[in-house]
Amino acid sequence: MMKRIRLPLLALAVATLVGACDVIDAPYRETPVNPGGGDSIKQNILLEDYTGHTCGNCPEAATMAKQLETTYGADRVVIVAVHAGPFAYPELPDYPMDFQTPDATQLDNTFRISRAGNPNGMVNRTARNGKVILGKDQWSTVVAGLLGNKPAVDLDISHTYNAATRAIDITAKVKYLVAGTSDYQIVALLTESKIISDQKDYRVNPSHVPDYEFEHVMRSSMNGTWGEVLSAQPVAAGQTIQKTISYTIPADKTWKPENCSVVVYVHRHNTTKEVLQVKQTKLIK
Amino acid sequence: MTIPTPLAIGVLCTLIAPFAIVSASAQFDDLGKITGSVQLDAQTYSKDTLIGAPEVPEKILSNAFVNLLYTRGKFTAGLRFESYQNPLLGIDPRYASTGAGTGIGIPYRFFTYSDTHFEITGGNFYEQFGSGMILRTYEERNLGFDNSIDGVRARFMPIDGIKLTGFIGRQRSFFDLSEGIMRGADLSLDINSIDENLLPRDMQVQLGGSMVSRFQPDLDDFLKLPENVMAWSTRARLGYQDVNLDMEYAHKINDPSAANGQSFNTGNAIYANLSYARQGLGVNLAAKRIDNMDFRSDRTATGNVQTVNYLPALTKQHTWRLITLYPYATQPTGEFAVQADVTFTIPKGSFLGDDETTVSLNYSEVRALDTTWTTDLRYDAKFMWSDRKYYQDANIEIQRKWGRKFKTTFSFIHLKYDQDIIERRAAPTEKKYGLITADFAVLELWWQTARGQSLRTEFQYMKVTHEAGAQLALQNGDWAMALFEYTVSPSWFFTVFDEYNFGNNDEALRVHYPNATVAYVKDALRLQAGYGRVRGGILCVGGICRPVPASNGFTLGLTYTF
Repeated sequence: MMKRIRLPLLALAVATLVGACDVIDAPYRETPVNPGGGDSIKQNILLEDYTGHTCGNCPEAATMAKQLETTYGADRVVIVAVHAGPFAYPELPDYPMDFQTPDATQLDNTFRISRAGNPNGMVNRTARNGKVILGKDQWSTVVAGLLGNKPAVDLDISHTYNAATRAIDITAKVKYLVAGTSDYQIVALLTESKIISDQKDYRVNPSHVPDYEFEHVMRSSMNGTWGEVLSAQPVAAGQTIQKTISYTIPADKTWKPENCSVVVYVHRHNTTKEVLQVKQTKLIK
Repeated sequence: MTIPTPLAIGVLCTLIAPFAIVSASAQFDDLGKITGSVQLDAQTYSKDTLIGAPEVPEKILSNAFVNLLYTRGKFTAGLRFESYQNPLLGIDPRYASTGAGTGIGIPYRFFTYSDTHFEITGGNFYEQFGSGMILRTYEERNLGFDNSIDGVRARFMPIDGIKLTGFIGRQRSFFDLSEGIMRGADLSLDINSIDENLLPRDMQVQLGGSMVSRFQPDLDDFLKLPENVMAWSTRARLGYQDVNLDMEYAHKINDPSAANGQSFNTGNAIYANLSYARQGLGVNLAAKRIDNMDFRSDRTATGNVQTVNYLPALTKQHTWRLITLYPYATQPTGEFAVQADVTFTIPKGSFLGDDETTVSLNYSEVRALDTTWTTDLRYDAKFMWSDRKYYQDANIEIQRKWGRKFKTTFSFIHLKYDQDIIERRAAPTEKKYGLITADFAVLELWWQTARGQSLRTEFQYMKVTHEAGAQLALQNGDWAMALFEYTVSPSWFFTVFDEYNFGNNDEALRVHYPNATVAYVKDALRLQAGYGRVRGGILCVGGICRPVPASNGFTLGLTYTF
């Protein structure tokens, strides 16, 4: 007899335990607060969006990236669209453009993003649940989480651009806010926006969009895919290291300087691969 | 790396190692028993620009698995070692980049203590509640799929016919664990076992109810997300003489996720299956309606990963090679499906002669639900289906023996497959591949050529047409295939087959895909070596598309059980 009473009780206990549920009523949206807004030195975010012009699900990810950039500001969330992998191959006749670059392909091969699928991306190349490759629906959570962090380095950049020679000279000052190791490397990229070309977009019918506006397209690294070492020795907190990076836009490139941006970031190349800080500025101010 | 903890491996190895030696060297049964298996699959890859087989920098890729199981009395412990160096093409590359990033680990280990009224498991376990509509964890290593839960599970069986199961844990995600915490409980009642006199003679009744809940913190800045998402289901199986009726209803509260387009709708699924079976005749009628039932241990997961539930497929899973180009995948966000299946045997001595003939008839149809989005986060769904057809399949299979030394199987399949939706390869209302119609026929012949030797052949043909308005350049067209398999029992198997895409719209792609394999089996060892040119495709699940490239190369397979 005891057993017959005990069982329903047990079931009830389990039901209460398991039954926890949060039913949400409209409105479902909320307004984000800007984390780290009050600090003088802020942690900025490098959002790398791995994409391709024949990837029909990719424009949705670009919209998500844009939303984050608009919400937190282009100074806090820096987007780089990395066109690499099979979806970035030119496909005639509808998708003749080739946005691939050796640097983009090397990044894609290293982080194996297109093998995992497109769209996918990385947020400061940090892992969430052990995974560095993040789907677009994970970006806002990870971005919001990182924006409030105390940065390891502060980055200050200035540059000159000579329109006649197309030479870019960047001066970057990296201030170590905590002691750093010899794996810190600095990379400077050139990105271009407002490029009108063909993109597959499954949100519209027909999905071939001939006048899609591409933004933040990674054009080239200015000092190699992985950049250059900041210091071969460990660096104490409070110290500043200055680097100059020079690059000339090749003569055969039709990139429009007025639509280009300079993106500089510091990352831990041979260890965690994490991006520590990033800054972005228009090529022509 | 969260699993396996070095401590756990250490403890387990210390536990198992001495027994392994003992059990191999002598029969001390009271020390328990070790069993296990080894599986290795390796492939070389050559670039084949014509079919789009890419260059693989590693040249050779391999997946390997070792299972060990130790049992002693009421105690069982086991583990699985996995190695991906690097994952074979088509297997998720995250096996190489998660955890320690080496592609090597012991992502599965457990112990179980099992008594008459009680059982407890610590570590990884596989579990299914009812038909799986709110919980099913399983391993399908050839697809790179494993969603086992790492945690604690307890079962109580107070009397015969009553089983209560509860668990708490986190789901495996490659070589890591998922962000969400999963909790669940299930009660199964078998009325006939509780008291055999309770029901009329010839009647069987089984009842069940379950709940599964996920906790995942809401760190999103833009949406108010539910941190605790609960799903529940209730089921019944009623049997009377030769008739069985299975029913299940499942419900899930709001669970906006990457897979459902952040919809705040509740989810539900209803499933019913009526079957009748007696000597020489089986009839099965089934229907299901699914609305917004994609359930995962991480709301941001996409693709075929971290799924918690399994929505039963109401379409026949074909295994003939050519027709596997068009496999149906349940659409967890919404579909309405019906299926009818009849199998009967025409007995010996009928008008068809001295041997038995078995005939299977099968029909299934899957359609979209009739839904309208009212805001960008909510939609209305009518109960009945819409006009949009996802899949339709009518097929017949006839098997016939002709004496002892000759057997034939003939099958004809007529199916329609909405590639745009099933593989999500187009905008929702756009026609790219359109509704594909495939007419497939196969004749399989089997002869016993000598004592212990047999020859099996397959001749397949598939005619493929696209609906008007579909893009011509994407069309694969017609295929043919021939297969020969020679078996010398018990050790040798020789197989050659060739798929020929003779109807491809692009003349350059009217190519052959030849394959040859030889397998050797000796006791518990199976060795297989082969060469193959394998057609490629794009695998799209839930809006994330992953190219599964064509490949050209040699394969090596080894399995051994002990």
